[in-house]
Amino acid sequence: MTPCLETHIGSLRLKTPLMPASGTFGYGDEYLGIISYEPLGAIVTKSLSLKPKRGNPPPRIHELPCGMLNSIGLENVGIKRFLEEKLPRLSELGLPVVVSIFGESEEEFLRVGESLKGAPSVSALEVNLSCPNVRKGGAAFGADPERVFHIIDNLKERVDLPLWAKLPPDPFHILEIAEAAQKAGAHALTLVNTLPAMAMDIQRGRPVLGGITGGLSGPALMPVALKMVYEVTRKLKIPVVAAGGISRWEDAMAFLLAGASALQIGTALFSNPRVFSEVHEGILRFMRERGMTTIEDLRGKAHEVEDHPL
Amino acid sequence: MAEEDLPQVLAIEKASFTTPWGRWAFLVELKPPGYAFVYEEEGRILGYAVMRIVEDEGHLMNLSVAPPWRKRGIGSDLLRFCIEFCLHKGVSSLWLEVRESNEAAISLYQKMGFAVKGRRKSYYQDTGEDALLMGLSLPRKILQEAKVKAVRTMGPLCILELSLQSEIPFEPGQFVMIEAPGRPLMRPLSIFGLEKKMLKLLLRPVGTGTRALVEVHTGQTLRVLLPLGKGYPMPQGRQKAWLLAGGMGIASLFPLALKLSRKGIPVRLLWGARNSSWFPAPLLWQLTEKSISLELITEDGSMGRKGLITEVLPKEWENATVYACGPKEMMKRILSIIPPHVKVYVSLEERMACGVGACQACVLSGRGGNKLVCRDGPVFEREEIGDSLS
Repeated sequence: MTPCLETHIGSLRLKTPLMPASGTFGYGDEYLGIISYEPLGAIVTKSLSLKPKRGNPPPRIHELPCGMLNSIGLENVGIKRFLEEKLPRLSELGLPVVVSIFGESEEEFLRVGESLKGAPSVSALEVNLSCPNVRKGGAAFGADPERVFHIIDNLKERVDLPLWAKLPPDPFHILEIAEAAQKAGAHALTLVNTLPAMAMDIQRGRPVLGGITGGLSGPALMPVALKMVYEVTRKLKIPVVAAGGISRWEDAMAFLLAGASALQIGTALFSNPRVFSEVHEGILRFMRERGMTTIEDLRGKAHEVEDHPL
Repeated sequence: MAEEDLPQVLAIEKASFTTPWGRWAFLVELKPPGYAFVYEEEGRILGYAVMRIVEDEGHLMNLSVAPPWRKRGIGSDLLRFCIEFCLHKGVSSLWLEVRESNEAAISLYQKMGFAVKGRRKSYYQDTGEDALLMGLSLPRKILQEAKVKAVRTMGPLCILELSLQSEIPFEPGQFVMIEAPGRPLMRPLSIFGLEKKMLKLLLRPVGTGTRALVEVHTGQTLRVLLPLGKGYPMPQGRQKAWLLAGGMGIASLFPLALKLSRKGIPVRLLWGARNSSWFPAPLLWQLTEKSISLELITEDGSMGRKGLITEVLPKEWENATVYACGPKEMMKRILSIIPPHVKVYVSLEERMACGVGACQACVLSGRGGNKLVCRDGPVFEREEIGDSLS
């Protein structure tokens, strides 16, 4: 019997737990005809703001031995053009669309969210809380539990769509921030965004990235993300969508065991565009070999091991 | 298009054609393999397009705009929509028939890249007029496992020869994303040669990725995504082609030189590099035996003229189309030296992760907005670049 990979994020049913991580899959149609979309349970778009945003100057990416840095600067076409030009095409794919949104102020989050009310095929909003709060000196909204609560709480009141709060990887406060999002009524958490980082061009004596600093993604981030997913799902009931360096099926399995309900893959796509199919097959094979029939046989199994604090 | 759109659609159809389609003709096309789209403004249907897609072939069967709304670009919008729809459905060619006398439609189709591929005699029953068969080939990006056949080192350069799983058409100037073993990102490399199933890439092993690529062994497979981006357009009319290659810029201009010479277009190729070791004899022979006029320039004077390519540029640019590929500084100089009325195509480089427009890393930012090198380039006309290089 073929194991069933169906998973639920609140009331949203996904046929597989796999989806692209926001920002690595463009507006969702760029890989059509190149890779199979069959293994995907949903599409996650680039982060959208109210007005178009031009992003940072190049270089926008930098390869590292075990991952990459990016400082795209949230370039996007703006919510209006997205609704007019991009969403109609996405609707044809027959997959739930998760639209990632961000704002430079709390009001902007609300306005972007409101403009997606009633949009066809949009199944959830992923609220990108790692973007800088321009009015508060540029610190990420997601670093402050109070701001997280406010943004989610306000969105929940005005927008009738499931909300996934995407949090920055703050190793010391992740639980606190996650709790704030849960309390405000988020339907899920996406853990985690890229880790703030930078690279130096020693020959030219200046930072490599045009945006000076960027976000670290890829295998280097994976164990960091894994620990946060584990920690949060052990303490909180809210479903967690894991993101952070998943590049092989073994990584995906690790996140499921740690308690994730779904999985986002991003950077790995850039070295292996077929990564979704390979991870999908890997999970199925593993489950079949062990006689598992549903994702629930795996999810959070690692929680059963008692930890022994020193 | 939905069934409830039909009354409006049929009215436009009646107003547009002498032998209009009936209700049933439209109904059939509302489900696959038929695809029908309407152009709507404030709930009013102003035009529509009907096509069929069978496997990888698309056929545009009907396209019409309500008479009062013509000449406003609605037809182009509908056609563009159909083309994009086909691209996303993996269609490799789109076909249509058009009345020979319908000049407006023919010119619209030509503008969108369709070319006359044949004629259907007495195709139209009302007048017995011929139809022109027009076709448009849609490029497809393919992800393949390519097998390493050889790694040929030639001085500081290296040619990587790979065997693909199938034949793939390409245009000089297009590129591939290729797996660099053990590295987190694929690498963009110009297509140096692609004939039958043999892909050739010219590289200079200086970075982590290119070094990993020349250390591959024969028989190893590498993931390759190709052909990507836009290639060099051919010169218009009776123009001759001047190719300006700076160092590794030869990688994309080499296949262009061969293609132009095959088409009988006179080619003058200026290739500048640090020193003579950059000019492997086998490459020079391949160019000169095709009667390509080749001028070499070295910084140290060890071969050809001494200096920088930008210092020895010709003074006369009449009837020439210029193609340039090289370091950014060279491109900037070239664009400032060559008189503005001369058509110049440059191929640009930028760091990229995906090669298909998803990651948005390879941005070319200018007054006119952002362009992506992978999707809108890597070949740009000078007008498209504007102030982006400064």
